[in-house]
Amino acid sequence: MKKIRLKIDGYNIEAIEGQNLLQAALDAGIYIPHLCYHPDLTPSGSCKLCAVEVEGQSDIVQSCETIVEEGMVVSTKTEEVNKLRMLSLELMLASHPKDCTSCDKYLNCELQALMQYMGVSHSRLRDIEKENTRIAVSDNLIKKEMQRCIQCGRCVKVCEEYRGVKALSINKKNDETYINTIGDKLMIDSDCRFCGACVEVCPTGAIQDMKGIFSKDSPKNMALVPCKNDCPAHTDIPEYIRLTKEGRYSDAVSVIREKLTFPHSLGYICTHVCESSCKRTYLNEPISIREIKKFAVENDKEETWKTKVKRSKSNGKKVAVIGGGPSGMTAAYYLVKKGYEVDVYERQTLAGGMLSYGIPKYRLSQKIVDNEINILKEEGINIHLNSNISSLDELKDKGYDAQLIALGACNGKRPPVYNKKWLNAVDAVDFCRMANEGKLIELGDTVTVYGGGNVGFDCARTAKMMGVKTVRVVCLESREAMLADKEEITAALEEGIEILNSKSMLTIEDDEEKINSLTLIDIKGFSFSNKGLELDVVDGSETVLNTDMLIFATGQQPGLSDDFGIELVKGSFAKVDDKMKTNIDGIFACGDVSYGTKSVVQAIASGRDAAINIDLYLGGDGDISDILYERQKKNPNIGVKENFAKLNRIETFHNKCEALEETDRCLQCDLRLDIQKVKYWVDPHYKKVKEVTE
Amino acid sequence: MICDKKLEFPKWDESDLNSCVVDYCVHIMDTARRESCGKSVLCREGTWQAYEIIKYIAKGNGRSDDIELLQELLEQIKRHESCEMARDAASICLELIVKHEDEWSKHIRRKICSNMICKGMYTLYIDPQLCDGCGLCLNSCPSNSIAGGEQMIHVIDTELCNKTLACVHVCPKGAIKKAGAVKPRIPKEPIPVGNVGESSDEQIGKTTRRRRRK
Repeated sequence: MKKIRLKIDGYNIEAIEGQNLLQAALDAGIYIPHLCYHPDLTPSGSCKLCAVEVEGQSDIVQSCETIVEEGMVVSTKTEEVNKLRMLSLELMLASHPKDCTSCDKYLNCELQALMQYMGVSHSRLRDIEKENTRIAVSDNLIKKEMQRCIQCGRCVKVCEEYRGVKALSINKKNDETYINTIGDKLMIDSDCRFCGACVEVCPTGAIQDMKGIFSKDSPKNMALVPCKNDCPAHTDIPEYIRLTKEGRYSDAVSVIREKLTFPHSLGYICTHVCESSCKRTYLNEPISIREIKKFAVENDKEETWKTKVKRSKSNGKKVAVIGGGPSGMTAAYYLVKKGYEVDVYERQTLAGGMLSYGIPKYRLSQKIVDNEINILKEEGINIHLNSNISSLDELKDKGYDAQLIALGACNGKRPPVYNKKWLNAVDAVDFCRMANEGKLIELGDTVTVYGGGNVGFDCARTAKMMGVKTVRVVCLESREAMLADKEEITAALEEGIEILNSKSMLTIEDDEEKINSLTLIDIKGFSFSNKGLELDVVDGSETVLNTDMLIFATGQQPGLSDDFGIELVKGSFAKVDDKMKTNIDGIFACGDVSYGTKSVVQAIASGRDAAINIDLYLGGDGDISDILYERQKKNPNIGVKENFAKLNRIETFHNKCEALEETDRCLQCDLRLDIQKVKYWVDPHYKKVKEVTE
Repeated sequence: MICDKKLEFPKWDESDLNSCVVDYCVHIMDTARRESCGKSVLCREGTWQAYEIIKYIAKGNGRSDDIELLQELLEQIKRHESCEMARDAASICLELIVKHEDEWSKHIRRKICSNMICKGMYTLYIDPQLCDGCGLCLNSCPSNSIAGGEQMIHVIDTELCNKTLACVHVCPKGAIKKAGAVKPRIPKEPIPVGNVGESSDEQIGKTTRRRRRK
């Protein structure tokens, strides 16, 4: 890149040959007002704000349209220039609403910033009322307030030349121009890909994101990609979806592996919060992210990620991890890579925790779990199976520099009134474990599951598969509000499982040892207050159900007792601070044992955090990040896809074709982050000019 | 190049007594703003703003600093707009503002349009001497602002009149006329035809006080 020199307002600056004058000035820290110009778009010189005078030229020129030349002498603030700028801005404001404070872009608006910079308000000119501002309509994703549009044309340009979509244009009706989709179609009927580029470049409040789509608690660059933001491990979902689309499964898996330790298992059983927050949900249905992950993992023949894993030299320090579930194994894996010697103590005969003993085999086969554990183990984790640690004292003399409690939440939790040992009542977590171990007791002809979450359905479906004639799920929630995944509910119904919604258990009729029947009552609603569960019952709606077996799927809790040697909260949870430390120095806790039953992916994320915190505690840098796939510059040009807004979700893939179709539905929210940000005049960048010396 | 629009604007005939320079400029700017492709601010907003200001002047709502503002606006369009059509429209108007400064000033300061073309500058009335009560005008008026009946001298309610001039065109007697600042004496309500004496005709326009205003 050849550098050339020029003088702007007396400052000697350097510019790149071929660059436009406006960008050169902005880069050098000299602010020239501009509005229709955007660094990613072709300049058009239509707003007249970036006007400047160039020595030797009789007329004012638009700096965005002028290419820099060696020795150019430029003035950006002459009287003539100011006159043109002021008038142009006033003209734009003549038809712009004056109620800035009622606009959602208030204080974050380029137009407003320009008004402040130039000291222009609505004044000399006549107000102009435009008619066609009501034509363009909002939809679920994009809010249009076109009365605020100043027709700078950026949205049209970004859609056409940057995205290659061309859904927007300057239209004309009754001799008045306005911006809308071509042919005034609804956005869902147009070629719009809902990428949000138009929102990103709009300098006013005319085109905005619909409120509520993006989280307000996260920084903008995270919030704009909701799937990645809401994934507890922040997996780079849009990137691996794109790679899967291109058939680069190994690269896709590398992206997944950067954050997740059990991708194949997650492909089957992840609770996929990413899908719940997927922006496409507002259009029709979310992307089948979990299925895409599974498809990528199962089609990755090369496993290139393995060659790129970052490994540190041994640092001679030892860490014990108590519990070989997803959280503990994840922490162990990253700690081993950081050079620690790690012993994992697992009380069961298999590692994997809930993956091995909680989730029924029909949902996730043991082979997959074993394989994933082996992959982690290969890094050099020492796993001690059948090693129950019931007190920290047992590890006291083994010379560990730090210990991590990752025992999970493996005890059932019933409503307190039902804490009685009946022969034919069992907690869901025990039921699942026994089923997975093949040690299940006699169930009888009718099984009732109390609780309508995913675990409840695991139990019900397992019972049904074992040949129980009548299986019922009783839950407080209405059908619509049920906590279990939709696909679980559908499958259960297909298998002939009854679901009794909006019911609560009133009493259990027993003969000391055995439950005979249950009395249920209909409820209109329920809530949890500090007094516990509060019900709004329908009087006189009691029904009696006979059952041979009752399974409580009403929650889980850790099995820690005071004897373990750390401070507990809420009965059996490990008390941790924000660094995941317990009250005992060097003892950390992660996963369900520290925050309660959540999900496997949450446990993995927690395990990663634990590894970071332990490394920092032991004097490391806390950096466990891996770059397993070197990101390439993303192509902003996404082009047109026929009927894009109406493409339906494909739940499961039977072939590459279906996988391709589903990946194509992705809105690629992350591409928006690549659009350059326009710096306001108050930006620190403009505080000092980057001058070059002669 | 944003737009390569060109437009041949009709020339203004200065000698035509049925035309007015301000009215002509309203039309030029109206045409320009309607033809604008919308891409450039001086063309899209500039011509519209100029049209808006001239329209105010034509309606008798001009402000004393309007000429200055208009000149600045047109000057900027003429010099800096890349669209040839907008530039042409601006130079035509600019030239006419300079050349006919008096007429523009009359419009703004005295609300007078010499040829009584600009609608804010005159009212329509029915000459009671000429009206024969035929009723054609009454039916032609889209705003129902004419009162009258068979064999009655018709009267225009100037408050309601939109000056579409439809009545002027249908009146077989040429009885419907324009009045500027000086208003003739006419009946307030319809009266039978022939009830207006010769003498009253002579009074028209003569008894009203001459107004002198700068």
